[in-house]
Amino acid sequence: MDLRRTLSIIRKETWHILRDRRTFVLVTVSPVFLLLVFGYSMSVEIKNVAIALLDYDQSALSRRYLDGLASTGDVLVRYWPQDYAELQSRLERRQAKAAVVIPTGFESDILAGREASLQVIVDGTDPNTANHAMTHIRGYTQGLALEILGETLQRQGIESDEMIGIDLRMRTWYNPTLKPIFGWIPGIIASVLGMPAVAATLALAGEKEKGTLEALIATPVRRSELLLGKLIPYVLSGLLSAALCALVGIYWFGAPFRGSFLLYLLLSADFFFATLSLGMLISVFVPSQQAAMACAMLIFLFPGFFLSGLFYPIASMSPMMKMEAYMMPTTHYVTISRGLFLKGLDMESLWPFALALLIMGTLVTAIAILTFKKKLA
Amino acid sequence: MIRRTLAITRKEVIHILRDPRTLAIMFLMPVMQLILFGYTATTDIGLLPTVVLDQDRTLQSRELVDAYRASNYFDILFYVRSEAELGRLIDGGQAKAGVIIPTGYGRRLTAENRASIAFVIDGSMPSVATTAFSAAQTVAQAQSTVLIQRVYGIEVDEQPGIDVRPRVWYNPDMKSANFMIPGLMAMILQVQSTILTALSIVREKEEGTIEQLIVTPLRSMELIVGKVTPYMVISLFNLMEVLLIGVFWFGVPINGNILLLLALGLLALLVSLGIGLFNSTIASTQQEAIFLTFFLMLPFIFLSGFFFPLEAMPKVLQWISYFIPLRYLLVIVRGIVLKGAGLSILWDQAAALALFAIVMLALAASRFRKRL
Repeated sequence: MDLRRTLSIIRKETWHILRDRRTFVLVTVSPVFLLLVFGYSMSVEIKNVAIALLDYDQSALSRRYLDGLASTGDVLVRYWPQDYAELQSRLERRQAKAAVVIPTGFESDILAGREASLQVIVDGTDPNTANHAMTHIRGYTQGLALEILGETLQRQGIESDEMIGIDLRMRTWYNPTLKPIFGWIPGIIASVLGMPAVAATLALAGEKEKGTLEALIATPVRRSELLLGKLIPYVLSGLLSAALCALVGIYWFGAPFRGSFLLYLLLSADFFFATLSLGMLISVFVPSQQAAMACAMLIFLFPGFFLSGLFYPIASMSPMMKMEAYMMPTTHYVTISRGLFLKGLDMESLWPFALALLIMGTLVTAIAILTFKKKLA
Repeated sequence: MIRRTLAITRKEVIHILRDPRTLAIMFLMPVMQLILFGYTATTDIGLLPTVVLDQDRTLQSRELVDAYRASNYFDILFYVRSEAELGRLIDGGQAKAGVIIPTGYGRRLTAENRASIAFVIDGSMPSVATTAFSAAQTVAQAQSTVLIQRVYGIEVDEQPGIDVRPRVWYNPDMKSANFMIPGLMAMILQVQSTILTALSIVREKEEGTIEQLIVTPLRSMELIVGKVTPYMVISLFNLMEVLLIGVFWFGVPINGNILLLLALGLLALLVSLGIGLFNSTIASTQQEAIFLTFFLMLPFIFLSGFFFPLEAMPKVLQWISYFIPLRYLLVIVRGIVLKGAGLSILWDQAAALALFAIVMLALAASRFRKRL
């Protein structure tokens, strides 16, 4: 390993990235672009999900139930269908995602001290939204039932000036207002920063296809120097992108940043080391640019969103998926990013994730250097 | 005309077959995506890892913890002795929620019939936090009802209550695979075929072989049709592949008419063809074509309702989504597969898709002729 030779490769590669505007834009600007797109599309507020209410009972109590539900603000009551057929068509046309049907006899059942029932219909095609709507409606119903029970008891002469029961004091940590966008931004940043690796994989595969790599191999530069020399400029431009993303997250979306920015850059470099070496390894193996893109998307992009814990908590995944999730650099980076932005953590709690990334990077780089030798020998 | 087109098609097929590894990756890609989406997504937001700090340690507090455990929403994994420990578990992400039962909870419940507890939610995961919030409240309310009944010595059945009868339509088991797989079918039709179309033309440009093709008596229409046909076949093949794996492996029900699905799928392929051709007139290298398609497709995927309900998005994004053909295709595929919808419901979506196909193809063809 010769420092001078490595440096000259770094210089050449930096020139290459800077001159090839598209790669440079892809590495540095595309994550910011994606952050903007995803930031807005993901911070979906489920409370805006439309529901339809069908009241067959038309009683004081049913109106109280429905008006109360509409005023909770957790759901958006958009339709008051006249009959079941209309309700059905609203759901079928996806105009409403959930519906509440109050049958006749709702009020009389309750007044008679019986248990009344009502029907909640959710459109299960999107299980997340369905779950959400169901939980909200169930919670609201239980609250109202408790209120009615209290009133009934009062009518029966049982003194209950103060409500009996358990008072739940909610505390939401890290994101107290529960503004979805704050919670999303750090995770999204971690996921979109998979893009520099996609770009690097494509660029390297392109070089291989064009045959310019052979020219370099013919020089006295060693394989390890060549690979590291190519890796470092990409890590640096990735860092530029990480800084840009953080700035957009903080100043545009207003996400809090509670940790140390220096640590953020340091651990981002750690993350880029892991993903970019993986990209390099892929580009050694793939036969064409087309294949490189397919692999890069499959490894960096989709798992970044689905396996990384961005949507689904890793703890509730199956053991097999859990293992796969922990093998993805993005998973650890999502934890790091959330920790730094929202939780204000330092190395004391983040070291396991940083170490995991470092081990991955070292291991993959070693494999890349070894296989690179063989492939071109 | 047909003979010349076929000659181009044959040439392209030979080209594809010469690189069997890339071909294999093209076929494997949808399968991998399917496995990824199908399995990760089935986890949904299952049990939430929860930590309990019971400072009270009475019969009543244990009863409450049991109620949380029985809720099928919270998975009580840790019992801790101090708030600092609870904080560490939530900081480290091992627990996403925490129940804190303060000292005196049981005593206060017996004496005053009222006590409070604290519930901590990790707000850094918004997909979980809001639902956890409602679920925690539901458990506390149910427990309150039990208490009222106990305090006044009344039987549960003799008192009024409201029973919620949940019905889940279209996807009764709420399987995410049923949501994801139709979406994936739409995405393959749109994304993969667009990239393949663009690349097939741009490759000739990059290698300079397009000039040779132009000097032949081929018309540009024959060239385009001949070149993209094999890729359209590959895309259709991939569609069938996803359909079969979805049905036989993940058990996704096909409630509607498969022929209608294929017919509208072909319409969607025409849209992709148009977009792909259009891209190929802009890009001059394969890398450029890939980037261009990529940049177009990512917002497509996220703003089309593939993952997130469109109606919950900001208004501006909803307007933008009208210009995304994938939006209409998703409604069509999910409608046919999950809801068994027919053309009487989906005609407007199909019309929008047809409009896109005509506009994109016309646009691409005119630009293509000029570039040549």
